[in-house]
Amino acid sequence: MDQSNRQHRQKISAAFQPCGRLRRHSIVALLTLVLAALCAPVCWAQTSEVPALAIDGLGKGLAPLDGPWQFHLGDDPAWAAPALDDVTGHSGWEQIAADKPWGSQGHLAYAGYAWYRRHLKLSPAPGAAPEFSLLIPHIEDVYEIYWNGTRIAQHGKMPPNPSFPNTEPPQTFSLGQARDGVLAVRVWKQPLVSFDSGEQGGFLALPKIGSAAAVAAEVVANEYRWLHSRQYFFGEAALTALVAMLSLVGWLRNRDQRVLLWMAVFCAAWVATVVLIDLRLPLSFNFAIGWLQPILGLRDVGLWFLLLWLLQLSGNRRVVRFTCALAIVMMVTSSLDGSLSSVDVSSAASAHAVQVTDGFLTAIFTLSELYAPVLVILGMRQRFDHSRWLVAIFAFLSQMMFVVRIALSQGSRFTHWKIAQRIDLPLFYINGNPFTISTIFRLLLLISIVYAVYRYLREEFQRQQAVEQDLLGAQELQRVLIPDSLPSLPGFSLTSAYRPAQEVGGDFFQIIPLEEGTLGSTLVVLGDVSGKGLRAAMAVSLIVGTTRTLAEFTTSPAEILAGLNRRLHGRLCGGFVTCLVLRLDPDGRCVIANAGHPAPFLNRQEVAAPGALPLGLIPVASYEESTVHLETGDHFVLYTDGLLEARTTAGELFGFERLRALFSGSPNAEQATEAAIDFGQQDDITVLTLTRLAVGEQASTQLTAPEPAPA
Amino acid sequence: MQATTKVTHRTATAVSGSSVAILAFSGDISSASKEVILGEYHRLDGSASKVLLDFTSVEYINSSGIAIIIQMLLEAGKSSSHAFGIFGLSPHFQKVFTMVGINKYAALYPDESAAIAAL
Repeated sequence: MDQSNRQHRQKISAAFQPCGRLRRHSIVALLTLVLAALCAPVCWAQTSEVPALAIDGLGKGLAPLDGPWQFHLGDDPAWAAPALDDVTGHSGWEQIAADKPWGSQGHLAYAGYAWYRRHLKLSPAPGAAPEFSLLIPHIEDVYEIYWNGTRIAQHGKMPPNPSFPNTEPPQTFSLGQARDGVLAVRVWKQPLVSFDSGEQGGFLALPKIGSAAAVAAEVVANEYRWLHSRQYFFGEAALTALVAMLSLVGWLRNRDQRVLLWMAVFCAAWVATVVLIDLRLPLSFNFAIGWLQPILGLRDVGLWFLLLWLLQLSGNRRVVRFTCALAIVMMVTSSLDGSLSSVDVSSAASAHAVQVTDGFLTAIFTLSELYAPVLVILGMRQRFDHSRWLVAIFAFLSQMMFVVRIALSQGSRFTHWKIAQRIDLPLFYINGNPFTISTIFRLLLLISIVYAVYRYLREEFQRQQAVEQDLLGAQELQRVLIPDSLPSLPGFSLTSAYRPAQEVGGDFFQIIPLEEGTLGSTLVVLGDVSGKGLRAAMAVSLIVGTTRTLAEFTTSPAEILAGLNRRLHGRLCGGFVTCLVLRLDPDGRCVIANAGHPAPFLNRQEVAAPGALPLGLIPVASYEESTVHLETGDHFVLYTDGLLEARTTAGELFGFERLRALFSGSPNAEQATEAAIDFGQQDDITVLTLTRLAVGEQASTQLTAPEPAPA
Repeated sequence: MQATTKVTHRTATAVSGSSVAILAFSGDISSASKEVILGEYHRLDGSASKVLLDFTSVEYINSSGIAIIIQMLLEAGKSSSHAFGIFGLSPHFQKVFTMVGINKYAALYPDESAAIAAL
């Protein structure tokens, strides 16, 4: 205001300069005094008008439109008129500065319409371009510019259904060959949301005036300063985007590594907020805020699931279930909060409804933010290595600071607390780049997460390598245990097929020619260990070794089963083994004992075999024997339940009826196995077929087995 | 994909007037069912000396599921606390249960009324 008065006084003294030239002449001086005395009432009358800001001789530079502006709350189209009586104190007009919002100049938390007016006297420097342009750094939120009562520009859309850019560079507007006149700015500020301090609205920084070239140069300089002061910030965003992209590619290549997916979500969400808010893209406020809320929610969800994996909480079902439920609540809440931005708030009723809903949703959002620190506390029951400690510490600190910042900013226009604003103040600058406490925590959290995920994946890789080594060992073991060739059985054509469902299955079979005292009999053993993998393979190795040992002492299938049961009891970790043992004599006599295994088929009929508990469940068990005679051309089939219980994707079982129909066609082992695989293999499948040959026919064997694993 | 095992507990009265606990299973029964099946069995109090296992709503039982049923029956046999009956099995699984000798530890019935009448 002092500067304006000084300019006003200079203007008045300039007006009287011609009178000074007559001082040598006393008469003229006297007349001058008289004239001055006559003019005095006129001059005093002028002081009751609004003083104009005179900008003379403006060349290449820019002049700030500083000093007091006439200001009026409310809206009236007549306020654009240059001849309006806007004298301070008249008709509600007052004076405020244009370098800070009206909220900090006595109109705290005001939202709605208001008008600014400034009387100007413009004159270009000799030889300078006669046109003037206006540079507006930022006005909240929508505005129209009038020059001498004529609207020359509009920025954003006034209510109803208001719309305005979210963030943008300073705007320029041409005034043409303007000289003296009144610049009027009509402003509309949208209703405040829960975290607004109230110190908002209208001009946030001084507008400037100058030639079009000077204003354009200032815009370029402003862009440079803006970019320069955000070098670090955009560098951090680019780095985070790279981490997000690599994590996503890593997850797409190995979907089991969900920690990579959550790191991609966590990083990408933050990068998306930078794109929406900080890149000065021409996005409307409604669009940007509408998407910002769910993206912030997604970032939190990403962090929660990252913490679940990194802090070893993913095995805790209750915590995982609660996290999933809270993630749904968070995404629904934040999406609803974001959708509020699309509601037309130009009426008082809708604005109030939006404010209340926003407050409610923000309260849920803020409380949910506490979940990351809670996960850290839950995870601290585990033993962490240093990388997980770093994640725990920085996740806790950054989220707690975020919660404090949000919580304290809620309703700050009522509490007038400034702590949230102080948290956002830079702690220091590096090369003109500000570093706030949020910036520092965010960077430390990102680094600690990347480091912890790297260590986690390295541990997983080492664990996987160990498992693969075990599996290779088990495959090698199984290759030894499943015969890679079949002995010739005089008088029989023998086929076998073995198809494991997993890399290492639990089916087994052995064909053991008995000692000479048994007149060329052969022991056939077929079974299935419940379970799969290395544990099943180890059980099979125990069974095969035990069977071969027992076969040296007895040729009775029932005794062999009883002996196997004794040795297996307590060694199968709650599992069991179904097993069929038969002794085949050259004359076609076949003695069968069964421990819970599917009975064999003779031609298309199931051989009657008494039910019995599988091996390994009780310490002592006895088994019954039954005998059948195989005649010339008889087709005898032994199989495991993988054939019987093959299932379609709809859940339909292969079942006994299909089995009966299949065996009625006397298939060989490979044909029977393929039929079940085509139907829908769920488990290991092993089939053995024996066909009694006529006298003189040559015995034959055929074996189908998986390829040995490469060494 | 396997359907989750669910177990519900209800009570019926046998012809003799004694109380019968019925554990009704649904979904698939596999190794993942161990906790829910044995947990529900262990929660049975001593008020019912007879227990019926209802498989009417069971879609599939694999070998690990059969091992769980056998484990429960063997456990009951050791403590002699409950007499078991089974009903609601499909013909396929009736045959499988017979094959593995479960019928030596629990009688198999076609449906609930037959089971209640026999107890």
